[in-house]
Amino acid sequence: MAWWPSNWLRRGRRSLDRSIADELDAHIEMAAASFMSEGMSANEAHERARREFGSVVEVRRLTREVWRWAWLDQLWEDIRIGVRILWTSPGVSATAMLLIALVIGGNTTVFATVRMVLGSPAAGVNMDRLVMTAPVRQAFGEPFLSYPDFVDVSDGGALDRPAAWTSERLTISVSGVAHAVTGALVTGTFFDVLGVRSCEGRLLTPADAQTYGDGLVAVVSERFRRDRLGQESSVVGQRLIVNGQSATVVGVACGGFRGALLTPGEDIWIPLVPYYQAIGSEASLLDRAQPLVLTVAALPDGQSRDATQLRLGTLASVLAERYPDSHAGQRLVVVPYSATAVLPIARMSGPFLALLAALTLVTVVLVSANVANLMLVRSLARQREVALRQALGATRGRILRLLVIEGLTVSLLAGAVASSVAWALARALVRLIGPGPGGGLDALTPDWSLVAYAMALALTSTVAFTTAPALRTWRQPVLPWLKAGERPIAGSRSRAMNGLVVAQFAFSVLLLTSAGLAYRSLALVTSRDVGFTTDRLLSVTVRLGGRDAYEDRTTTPAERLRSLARMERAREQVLTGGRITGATYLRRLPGAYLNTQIPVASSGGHRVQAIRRVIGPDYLATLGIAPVLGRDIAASDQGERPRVAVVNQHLADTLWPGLSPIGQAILVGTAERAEVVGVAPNVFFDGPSHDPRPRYVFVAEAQDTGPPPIDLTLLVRHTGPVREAADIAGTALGGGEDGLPIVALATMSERLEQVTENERAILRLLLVFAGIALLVATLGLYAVAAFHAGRRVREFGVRLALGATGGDIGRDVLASSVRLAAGGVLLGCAASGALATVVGRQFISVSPVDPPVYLAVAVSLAVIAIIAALGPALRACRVDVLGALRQE
Amino acid sequence: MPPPKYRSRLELLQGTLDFLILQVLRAGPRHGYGISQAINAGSDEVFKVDTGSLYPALHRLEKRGWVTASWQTSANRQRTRVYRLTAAGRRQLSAEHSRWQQFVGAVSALLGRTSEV
Repeated sequence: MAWWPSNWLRRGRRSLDRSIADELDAHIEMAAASFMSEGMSANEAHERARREFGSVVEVRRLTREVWRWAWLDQLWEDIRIGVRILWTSPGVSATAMLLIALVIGGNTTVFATVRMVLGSPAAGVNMDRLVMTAPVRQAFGEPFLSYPDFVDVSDGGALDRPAAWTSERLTISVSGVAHAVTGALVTGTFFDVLGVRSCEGRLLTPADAQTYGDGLVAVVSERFRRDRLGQESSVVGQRLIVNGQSATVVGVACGGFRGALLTPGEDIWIPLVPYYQAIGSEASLLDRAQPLVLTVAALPDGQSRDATQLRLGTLASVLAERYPDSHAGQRLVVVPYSATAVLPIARMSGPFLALLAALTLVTVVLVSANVANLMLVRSLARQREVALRQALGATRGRILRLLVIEGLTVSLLAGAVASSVAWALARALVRLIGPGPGGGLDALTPDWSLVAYAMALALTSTVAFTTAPALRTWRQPVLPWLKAGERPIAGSRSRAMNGLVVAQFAFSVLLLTSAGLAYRSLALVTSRDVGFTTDRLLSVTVRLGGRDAYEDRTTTPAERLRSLARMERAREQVLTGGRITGATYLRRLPGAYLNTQIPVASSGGHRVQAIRRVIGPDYLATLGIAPVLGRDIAASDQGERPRVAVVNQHLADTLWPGLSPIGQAILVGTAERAEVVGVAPNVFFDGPSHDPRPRYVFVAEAQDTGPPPIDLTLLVRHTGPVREAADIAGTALGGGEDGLPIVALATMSERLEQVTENERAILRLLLVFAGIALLVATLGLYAVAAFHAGRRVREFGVRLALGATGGDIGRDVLASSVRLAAGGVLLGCAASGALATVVGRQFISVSPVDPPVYLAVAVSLAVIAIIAALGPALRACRVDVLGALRQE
Repeated sequence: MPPPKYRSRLELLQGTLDFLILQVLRAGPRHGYGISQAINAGSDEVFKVDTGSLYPALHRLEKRGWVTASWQTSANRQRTRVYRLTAAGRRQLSAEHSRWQQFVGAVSALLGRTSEV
């Protein structure tokens, strides 16, 4: 404790204390000696000497205060007294602390989330003072600049090391297997201006970006090195084929860098100009009307953003004048760089954060009121003590200071707890609302401004909740409190306190029932048997169109046939692999998307909505289910053969009730006519669904005439390990000259998880908020119960004296708490019933007024109410009858 | 019932205690108890010095450098803290003295005039 400045002070103070105490003792001794010389006994003399002297403690204090360090000294003592008082009533202190920790935690969470979502740079970016330049016409649109505009901005000199990039889907072949990868084409200063470091080799330099010499160079991400190159080290010099062009890896970007923005998450970076030269698209670099690149740059030293903005404004008007067709009315704005600077999430997260902030504000108000109540309970208990202090000569200022220090201790401790908890909470929240895996949020670290924010809140809340009780003390008359019986308490307050508790319980009920409904809905949905075996099913998604897929053009019928033939060949090849029992392909897999329905009609004129799925051969067999009637779609169902369809039982029952569907004609959409060749059982093909009776119609991919798919997914049923099946499928799909680039690889179980991802996220959020609200409400109820029980001590005493038992009194206290809670529960149930019928359609499988949920919430809240009031009730049972009566 | 002597006691005027202490110490060093006894006896038991005022006053004077204090052992082996007037204290006393005279004169003149009415 060498740093503590009062160390010397304490030593000095101790010797001073001792000296003063000795001096006063000497005074009493001498007075006693003088009385003894008058003939008194030693006892009598000492007693009289002490009586005449007065309060030794008080004289000691007054004398000590004369000395210079008295002020500091007193502060130190006040803090000690404050901590001691907190320690003597740990229940109330802990409750207050918890409440404040909650409110600070909530606020800090919002603050941290805002910072994280809106302010942080991407992972691996180590530079300050970065800005992005974006063109604006009427409102913020696409933030892309044309390449010639970027060159003009660079040459204008308003920015330091301006860099540009454009994200692109690239097909990359590594030792013969093609992958679809998101990469970026970048200018030479890109890595330098962002301050990205390399783990291996080097990053791109302006020299790389000049010309296309002997092949392209590329920098890859750590993730790419690990996942695609299958190596932990030394990939420098590795040859890749990027969209048909040969490229050499020169380095690996470090620190989890996946691009300057949060999305899309890039894995490979290639110099922009050489790439366009290599693929022969140099023309797009000269097209002033084609928005192409995003830009980032540092602000030059000593130049403000406003000054930069001004210079770019001039440039924009020059451009508008020179190219009126494409640039009229276009401004250039400079925005501070962050990982979300120009992404839609920066706008989308606004409403979400506003909602969060509103909720937090509500909790702030509730918590401050609760803590003020708690402090009032305590001040009730302490008014006697405070009056005594005043009578002994403590000034009102000193007592006020004591109270404030007490509050400060509570809130600073709470602030310290809260700021650490808040960080974890904020991370969880960001993960919840964030763009999902692949974002760079994991690399974010806490900063001190967060802690400072928490502490500032702690101080504010102290002022908020100590002022009322402290002022009360200030105004209180000393005398009545020194008398035994008086307990003047403002009666009007209790109604407001009760109202607060009822409102809090109602709010908790609202959140809890919502969470309960969400949970019931989720449980119902996930417990639903999908109807087919979901494990040992592997899905491998590939991009059709092969090596040329990056080109943005419509696939010709011939190309489409070629791709399908390639897919079919891969399917057959997979089936020859060991321990593979089935394979098919299909366009859509269960996942987080909406199942749009289209109209389906029978020749008899029945018309219903159904989900249309385009599938490959042996779909049902691969899922491990047998057709109820007829057959599966087969490989022989080709373009020139009659078009066939398979329907599920629900659809068959609706369209042809009582008839055999086999051989019936069906109209899918408006133009697609087919013959039903099979009926599939009613399984949940798209995983657990809210619709308990989904209707499906399946048509053959090889016979489809609609717009061609971009991706197709090979579905493989395997009996061996997943790794082995993935290898077999990967080789079959991606191998050879005409290999198809692999986009994604996942098991069916993983896919099904995603179906309920949204519900899970909502449920988690609701649970978190309901938990906090309930905790706050419980603590609030405790405060009110303690307050009321404290006020009624005298009444309890009288009743006990008149023959009531302790049990009666305790029950009475419990009952009044339960009454309050019950009021809240009723109000909350009514509110959530009303609200749920409006928004409850989120939970389709459960009725908005689901009795089990409401019953469970009501019962658990009753139990919680009893628990909250248990402490005050027990204290009330043990009221000292004589003590209470003596107060009369 | 307090003794009659007690009832005739006067509250000390604000600031006069310091003056009285310095005055007592002019006769020689004394401890706190001795000073209170001296003021008691010297005022013919009219002034009763409250210990809650006396000791803070002594320490205040010490802090200002008008008195010094040291621990001594008295004849009956009682350790006491003995106060002694310093040169600065002496100067302060004479200043206070003349101010007091002015004050008394002014008050008497006032009282004399009003009693004529």
